Amino acid sequence: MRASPILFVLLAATPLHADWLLDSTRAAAAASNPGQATTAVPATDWVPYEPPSRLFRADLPSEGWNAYEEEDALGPVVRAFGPDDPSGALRATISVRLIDRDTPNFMSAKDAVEAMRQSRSGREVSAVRPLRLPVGLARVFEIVEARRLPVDFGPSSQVSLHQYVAVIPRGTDYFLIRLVTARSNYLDFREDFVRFLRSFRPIGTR
Amino acid sequence: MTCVVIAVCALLATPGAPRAAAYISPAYDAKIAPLDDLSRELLTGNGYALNEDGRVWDKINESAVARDDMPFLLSRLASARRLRALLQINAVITRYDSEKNLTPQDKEAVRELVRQNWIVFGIVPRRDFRPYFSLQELESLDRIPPRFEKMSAVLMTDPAIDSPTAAPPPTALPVVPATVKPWLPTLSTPELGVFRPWTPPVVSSAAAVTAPPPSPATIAVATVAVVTPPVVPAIATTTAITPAPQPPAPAVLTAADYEEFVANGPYSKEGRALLELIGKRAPDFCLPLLHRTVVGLIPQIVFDGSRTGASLRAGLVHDVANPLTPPTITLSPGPVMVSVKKGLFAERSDTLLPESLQAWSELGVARPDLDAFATEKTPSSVENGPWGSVRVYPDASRRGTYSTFEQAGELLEQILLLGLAQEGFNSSPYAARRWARTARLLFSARLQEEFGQVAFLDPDRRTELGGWRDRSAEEDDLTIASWAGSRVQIYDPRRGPPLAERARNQRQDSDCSREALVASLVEAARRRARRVGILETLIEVKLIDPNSAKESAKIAEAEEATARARLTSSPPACATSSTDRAEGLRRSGLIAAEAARVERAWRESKREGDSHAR
Repeated sequence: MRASPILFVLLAATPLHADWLLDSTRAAAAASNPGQATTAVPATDWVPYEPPSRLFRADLPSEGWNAYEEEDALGPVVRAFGPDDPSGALRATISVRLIDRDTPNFMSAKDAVEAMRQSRSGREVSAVRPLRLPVGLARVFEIVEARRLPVDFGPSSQVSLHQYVAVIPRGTDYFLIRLVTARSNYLDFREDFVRFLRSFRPIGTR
Repeated sequence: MTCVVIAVCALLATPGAPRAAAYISPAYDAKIAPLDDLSRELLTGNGYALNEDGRVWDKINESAVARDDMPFLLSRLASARRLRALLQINAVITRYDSEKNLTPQDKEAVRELVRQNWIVFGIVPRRDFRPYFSLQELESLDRIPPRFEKMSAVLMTDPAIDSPTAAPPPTALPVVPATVKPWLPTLSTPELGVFRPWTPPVVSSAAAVTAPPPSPATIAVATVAVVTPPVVPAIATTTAITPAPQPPAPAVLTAADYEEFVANGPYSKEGRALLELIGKRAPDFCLPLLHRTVVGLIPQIVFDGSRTGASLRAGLVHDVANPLTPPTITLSPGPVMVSVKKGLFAERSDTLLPESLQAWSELGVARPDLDAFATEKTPSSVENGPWGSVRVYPDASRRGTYSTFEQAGELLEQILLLGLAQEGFNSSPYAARRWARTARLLFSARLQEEFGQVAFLDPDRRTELGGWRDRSAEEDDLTIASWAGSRVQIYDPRRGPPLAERARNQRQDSDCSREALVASLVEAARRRARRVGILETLIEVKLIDPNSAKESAKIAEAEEATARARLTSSPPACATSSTDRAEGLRRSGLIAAEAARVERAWRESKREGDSHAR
């Protein structure tokens, strides 16, 4: 979508989807251990991740993704950060929240899906699709929204954002899992997201 | 069955066999395991006496307390004290419809009760009463670890044992006795039981510890405090639990002090109006810092879009190395925009551009020669729209207008960021930004409620506020994904939130020099990625010549390669010690938690049909 012929010429010298963070971290590792090879671990390598709160366990790519947990106004949230968008406007991010009755403005899973699916000008939402996962039946939908990014710094231009949203019921509570990317490269992360979902296990139900 | 009974009897009769039934725990001996001040207070205030022979005498049962029973007894007494305190607090709060309506006297009474009983409060009541205290007070209170979390002896910490074989305290360190202010309970509710006023503990020299040196942040705070001496009350300290004397608390400025300063301060009419507005409408949690920062640092307010750097709405210039120069907050009067159609069937969309020449020179390209950048050019027309009053220039570039209320919100955010930096709460830019952004959003939400609409915000801020109000999880995820991108990098995806970074550093005992090398390499790569990303955007909107963009991209790559070669051949030195970093991250964690708590409280207050029975 964003690609123009001139752009390809401009960026021909730069690998378009190489993440600068991963690249520079590897360079630092190579500088710290001069004897070791700097070749990347294949992206197919996945490792299990479990947040400090032991909310769940799921697989993440062993390289290029960094996951952290923190507490925000809605409760604990785990965010895994993947590669940067080529424009640098945002980084692919998977977030996981457990929405329970302690969450402010709690809504049931069904109501929450409907609320999240409200569309307006510049925001399109797909139909809800069921996705059978080992942990249960998830409701999955997509949101495409145009936003001007970065909001606070210029130049700020409109970027089409894409979200995969999965709601996994767990009794009256539910897990809300979201992948945020630019629409221009969301398909690059689709398989990663599905694999993350398939490996997702709430710790209590193991 | 008979055989089993006989076997058990034989076993019990066997010399040397364990005789559980005959076991009697010896009396607790305070000479062997001295009681700390809290334990003494709990015991002596509840019908127990400490005999000179070291035994703890139960005056009601006329017997000595057994050693094994002591943890359970202390836990039960602490629980009773906690319950009594909560009932007293409840008696105050339930006189009002809402906690928000408490009079200052009753609010102070609640604060006093919480302070007195903080030591016996567990995690949950501590969290519930945090809104009653300022960040500085909480920092002092949080030094007191929760000791009696529940009615459980398992979770209770034993009294400090100061046995003769224990290592003596280091004599090289100067011993500073803890200064404790006597508490005068402001409430008396005899119907709730006997409420005994707490008496200051006797501090034994063996248990006292050395005061930590004041942090640079504390020193900075002390220099900011210019009006009144600290009035933060002393925290309940018992030597075994909270031995460290508290650092000097910053001055507390009242709203009247702030208003008087603003009225007579070195501000233009517009700047004064903005400061007055935020003084009245800013959320409560940020007011102390707002007052201190404005009165202490006297930030200058300038309306000039060309001095905001790459920021679109407001920028901050603060030379830390030259403290005599007051910081300057620049506010943009309105954004410069160009409208572009991306694709054959796409709608036109606005791209907002920075005005600052410095922002463009950092990109390695010249600032486009747009009419909207030139102050002397006359607009061909003026139209009103979502960007306010928009001046349209002959070359189709446009300049919008930020409303006074939006500028006030931006000013509030910048002042708070300045104050956080001044007081040493900016080790994590993410936490500082999140705290200040929460204040700005609450400020805007309050104005929205008063006005009944959000037309005072520009379209982007309106979308942000709407998303934050109605779909906060989604808005937060989008915001942080954007903050983690190379263009912004408020959130460092390599380090994560402050407490996660701190925990990781403690786990790994990370090598400072290696960390400095990684950070420098990552920053060099980020600068290159940011520049290339921005150049992409500018080419898309046809604002710069592709050839000059290509040259600039090549220069950026060469700069990164040079930096990488230089850094790997001679790694950088450690910037700060790991101890300082850990302390800074701890403070950042505090403000991140406070931002979450304040936002949560606001959301809960907005919930319709709120019921505790839920």
